Amino acid sequence: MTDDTDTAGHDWPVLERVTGYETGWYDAGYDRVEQPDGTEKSYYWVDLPAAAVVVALTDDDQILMVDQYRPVIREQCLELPAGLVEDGESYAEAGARELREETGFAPDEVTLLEDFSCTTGALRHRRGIVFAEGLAPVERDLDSNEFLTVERVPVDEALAVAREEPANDATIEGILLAQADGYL
Amino acid sequence: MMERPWAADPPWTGDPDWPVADAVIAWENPFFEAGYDRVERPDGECADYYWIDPPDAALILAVTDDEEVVVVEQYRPRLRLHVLGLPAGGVDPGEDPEAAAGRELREETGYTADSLSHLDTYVPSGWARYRRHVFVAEGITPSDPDHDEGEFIETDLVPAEELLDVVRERPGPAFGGVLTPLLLAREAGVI
Repeated sequence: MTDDTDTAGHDWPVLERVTGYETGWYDAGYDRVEQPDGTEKSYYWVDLPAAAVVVALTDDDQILMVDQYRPVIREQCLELPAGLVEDGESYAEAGARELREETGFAPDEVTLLEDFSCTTGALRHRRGIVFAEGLAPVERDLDSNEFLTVERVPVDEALAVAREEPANDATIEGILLAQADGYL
Repeated sequence: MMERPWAADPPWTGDPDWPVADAVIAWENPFFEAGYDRVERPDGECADYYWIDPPDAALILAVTDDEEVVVVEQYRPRLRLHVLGLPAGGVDPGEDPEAAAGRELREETGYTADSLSHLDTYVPSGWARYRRHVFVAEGITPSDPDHDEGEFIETDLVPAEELLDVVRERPGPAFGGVLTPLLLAREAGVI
């Protein structure tokens, strides 16, 4: 994975970098940047490690989703399993681990469908969508802050379910990408 | 369209099983607030859930009569990448998202649209308190753009049927902000 925080090799020179807020979850701050016309501008950012999002298909054509309360947006959300990529992990490895921890299924095969920057705005956050199949039941291993239930959604209903409020970008994107690439 | 419960006044407390003990704005800048809610979880433990609260965004999939899509290429200093995306921008306070979509399309690309239709609204992530509103613009007419200071934008047209491949096969990471609107538009038969 590329290092998004390296100030070298930058088309527009970074004159100064200030971290204003560190949380242990994300860092927030700004870069003072010289623009092509010579003017300076502050670009505010929030830096969060990359996340893997898993489209996991069961042998009987159902998608595994997790139902959890999201205190930040104060909504109950039905989403694809997902989590942050840990040091040294690929998206496929992180996806397989998160799937196992959150749902109790270990995949036989995991394929990276796409990885991308989530926004061009304030968030510096990369996301990889992986497809997982050949699922075998194992023990779940939830983090202490995860209160979630596992749901199975038939493939032909998955997009409609994903688009119900509160709709979430990663879930819609994962299902549509897996469809576009012929996995569903 | 989805409400913004976190922006309600007085503050909406969400699920009563997850009471908010405290909400703290820890850092502010001209574009967003950053902070945390101290929340009591169902097991009785308190935990801090960190958030940012930037303005909502409107993204516009503008399609010409010849089935071409208006794209914008910009250098993104935060990502240090030249990014191919859709016209997009922040929804001003009190502004209707559809009005914002029309305004951003005109300012960024110069195109005006006969019709704007809402395609979807979603949150980009469970830890960011903002929404993305996606609109389809049709019956579009070119004119001169009106860039904000500091916007250095190239506008181009890409055939609709090629756009997904163009976005995904560019060198470097793709841009997720364009993928979901594009895939949704394909699903809806718009492109």
